[in-house]
Amino acid sequence: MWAHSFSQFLAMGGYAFFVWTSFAVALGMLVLNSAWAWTRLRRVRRELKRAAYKDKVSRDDATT
Amino acid sequence: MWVTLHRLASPPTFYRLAGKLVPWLAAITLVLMLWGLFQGLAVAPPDYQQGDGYRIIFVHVPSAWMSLFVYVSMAAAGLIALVWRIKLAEIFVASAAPLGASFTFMALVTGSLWGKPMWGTYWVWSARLTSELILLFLYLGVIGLYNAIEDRRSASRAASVLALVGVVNVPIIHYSVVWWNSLHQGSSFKNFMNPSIADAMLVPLLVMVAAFQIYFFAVVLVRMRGEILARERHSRWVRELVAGDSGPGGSGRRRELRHEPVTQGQG
Repeated sequence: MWAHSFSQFLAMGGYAFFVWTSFAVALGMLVLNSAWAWTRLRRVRRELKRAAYKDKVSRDDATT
Repeated sequence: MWVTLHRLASPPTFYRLAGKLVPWLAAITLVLMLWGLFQGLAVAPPDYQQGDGYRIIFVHVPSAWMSLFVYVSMAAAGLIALVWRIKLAEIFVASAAPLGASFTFMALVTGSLWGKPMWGTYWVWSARLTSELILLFLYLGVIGLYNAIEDRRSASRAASVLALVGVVNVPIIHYSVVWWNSLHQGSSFKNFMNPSIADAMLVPLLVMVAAFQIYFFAVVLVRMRGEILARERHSRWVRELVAGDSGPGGSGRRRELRHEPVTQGQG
């Protein structure tokens, strides 16, 4: 470990703003991308289920 | 081998396989990223010239590398989609473009944040930065074109053509620091036998590159699964899958894993 204290680690030798902002932007983008992908997959599945349910209900109505 | 490849190119088989792979890829990404971040931020020594400011390299280089890698894979998939009309290749182009755009955006932002303390400015119109910005516009063009055309197959073909045309920008980005004088530094590892970077910095950097790479595969598979379901919504296998999902007491996941491909879904 190069830093002797946590505050020295956070200070990043005077480059704290640049280093931590870079890591925050990068990790934020990675999290957003994965969340977006999962949300889209779940939304498509939900839409398909809803459409299948509507189909089933209208078929049941037609038979009765 | 061709039979296996043909089976893999079938949307139902791919959908099922991707569902199995994603959790493993996500777990590997998490382990590699945590290890790489710890080594890069806490263990690797400061640089003799740039001090701790150089640590931006651990997110900048992987995102810049991925911005090029994703574009080249999109162009390759675009060629396959145009020549052999493989539906999965079209879906890959559409699914990878937003990820490539975000990697490019990440590379530009982290590069700017690295440039300010080292060069004294956030931005210069040098060949490397300008060609990387053009790459971002190419990605946005592919995304825009794909979403502007209603028919998915025509949209995919148009996006594939743009991906193929734009690939000429990739060697320009890569060699821009060699061909033109620029504030941007040269490549940190031109060859693996004699890298111009210390092992204590190189190993976490390579681990972060691997983490970004596997992350891309995990997320692109999730995106492709969503796109496959959306496109194949009228096919029999998707109807069966949905019926399994909504059945009383039946787990859709179990049904999905047992499901055998019913239709090729091509054409």
